[in-house]
Amino acid sequence: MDIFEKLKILTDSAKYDVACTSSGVERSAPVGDGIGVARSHGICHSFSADGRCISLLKVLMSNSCVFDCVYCKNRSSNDIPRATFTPKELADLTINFYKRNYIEGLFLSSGVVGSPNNTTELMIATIRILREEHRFYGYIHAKAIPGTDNELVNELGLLVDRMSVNIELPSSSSLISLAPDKSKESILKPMGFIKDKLHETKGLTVYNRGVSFNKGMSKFVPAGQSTQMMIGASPETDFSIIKLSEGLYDKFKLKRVFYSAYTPIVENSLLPSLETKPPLLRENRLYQADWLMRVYGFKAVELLDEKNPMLNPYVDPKCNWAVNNPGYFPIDVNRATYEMLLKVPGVGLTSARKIISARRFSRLNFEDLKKLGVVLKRAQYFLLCSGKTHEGIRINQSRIINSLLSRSALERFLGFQSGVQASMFDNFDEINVKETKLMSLTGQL
Amino acid sequence: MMEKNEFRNIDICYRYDGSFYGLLSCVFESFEKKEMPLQIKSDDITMFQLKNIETDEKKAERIISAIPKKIDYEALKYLRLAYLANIEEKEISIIHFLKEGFKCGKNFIQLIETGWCPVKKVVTGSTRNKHLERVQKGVNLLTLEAQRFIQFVRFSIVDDALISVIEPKAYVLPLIANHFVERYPNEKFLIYDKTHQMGLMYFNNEISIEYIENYQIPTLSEEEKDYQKLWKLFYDTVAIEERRNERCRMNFMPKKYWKNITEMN
Repeated sequence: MDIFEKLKILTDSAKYDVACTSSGVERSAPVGDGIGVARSHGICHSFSADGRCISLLKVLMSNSCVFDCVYCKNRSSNDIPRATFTPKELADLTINFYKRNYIEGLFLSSGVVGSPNNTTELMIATIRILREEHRFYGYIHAKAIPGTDNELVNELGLLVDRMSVNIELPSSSSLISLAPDKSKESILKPMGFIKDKLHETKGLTVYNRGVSFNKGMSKFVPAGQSTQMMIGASPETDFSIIKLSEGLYDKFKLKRVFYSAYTPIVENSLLPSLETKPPLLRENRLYQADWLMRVYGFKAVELLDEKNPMLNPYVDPKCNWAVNNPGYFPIDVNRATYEMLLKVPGVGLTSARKIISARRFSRLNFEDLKKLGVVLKRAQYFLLCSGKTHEGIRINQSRIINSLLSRSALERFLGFQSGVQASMFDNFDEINVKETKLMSLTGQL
Repeated sequence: MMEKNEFRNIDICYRYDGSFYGLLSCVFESFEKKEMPLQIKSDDITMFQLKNIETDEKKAERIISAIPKKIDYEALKYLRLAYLANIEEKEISIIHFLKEGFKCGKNFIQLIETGWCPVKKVVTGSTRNKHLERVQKGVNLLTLEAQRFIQFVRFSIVDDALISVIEPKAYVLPLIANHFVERYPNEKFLIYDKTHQMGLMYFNNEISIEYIENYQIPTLSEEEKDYQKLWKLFYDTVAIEERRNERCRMNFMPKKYWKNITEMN
């Protein structure tokens, strides 16, 4: 099999993985040795036809897999062509793409070839050629294969910038039914191991690895670990998903949790039918909720609860929270803490910071807020300036909803009220979801 | 009555050599004589009387050292970018930019970028003039485009050297040079800016930007063509058809750049 055929098969099998970020490390090759630079903000080199960022060469080491996960294209019972890169082939391909400025580095995942240990050894061999022979200082993200021995995970972690263990499905019961060879324990074990190792090498700088990749004093996965799960393949609610994410951020110190709208590729009675469109809007809302938890200090239980377990399709989670917590508002711009300001719709990280610095010099009024970048259309219902509301503003439910909804969402909402659309999510995905923001989240930061 | 600090408008055209120091010498002249010329050019094509401005390093250095003291370092950085940017009546706009800057002092850049800074809360009418807007727009376009080319430069390997041709609107080479030197410290490369006919060259750890006329990329080897095919194959395969979203792609990778992006041809 030639390299063209292999690349096609192994890219096609890897494309459903979402994470393609190259962020989190700042390092460059010294003059006289090697090639490559990693930028902490990451760089997208291209955008595929679906608008997703291409930052890394995202391929599988092999798509021959001994596991038989129902949702997966590469499951052992599926009759598809199989291919495996040799370590040298893949390393050479990566370095040649890198030289041409096509990519920032390599994102290496794999089906389980023979055994988890065997698979990880193949991956290590590839990355060793890159780091030691080609003296490659660019970005490498590798998957930790559940079931691999700790020594091998450790060896891999010292060579790469980021590692991830895929949760795949948001509950252990779904794992049992859809991924019978994986279990909650087999996924959480390497995650915990990576977390502990990260903690051990905390004080080391990234530069240590530049001098001697994997020779003693290297830093373990300097860009941290991440995970991803599929949305819509199994029946979990948004509430249980964001609770799970919250737990992962707290307990395992993950950098990111990625959500992937399930695209049906397999006909199976346990899964949504092949005609089902990927739930892009739901995925988008989950990223928004995730962002609120990581950056804005929201808790999962503030955003959703047992009674309202799904994120609102019409308004984003922050607006939804504000509308459902009228007792929290209005708050006074000249007195509120930074944390309180962050919870106001229309106030972002930058404008909240600006408010704090600007109000030391003078009292702020609504005109000032506009200049500071606050979106008054949304924020005016929730803010007071020196004890006064915005001039001429009348607060009632329908006005607030009007201001919080985008025009297309409003049309959907009115249609929904008059009974044109009957279901919460199914039909929305035909509408082109604005993925712009989402892309900048998942790609370049 | 004219204000004490106002510049006198004069119907003449300054001519300088087009260099950064030359431009600063024009600034010096204008500030010293308190006069605002109608035009500043580096050629002779004008309807007005020409006044030749000699490039004077000392005068230029005086301006450069005054900016951090009277405005801030941010403003000096901005000035260098403005010199490289595409700005209508660039030289005149830069004189206005500095004039307002010296008047305003610290946080001037924040003020013109956002119309806001914590100390100088009010944006006066004069800081909102067309010249400042032009400078700000030009600098923003330049830095945005530089960012784009860090992403979208595509090299071909010809005899061991990395070679790329780009067609940016703004003169981005000085802004992207550092990034590519850090990325390829031990390679040799050429990035040729077809629009401005300038080449960024890195060879034996030395970097230079030089005028090159009509550079043509040499014939590609079979190996090079194969790697380009492999990359296109990867690019086409990695897209998920069910999620196709042309608008999103175009937002991030504008069509005007596709011509020189390997995978888009």
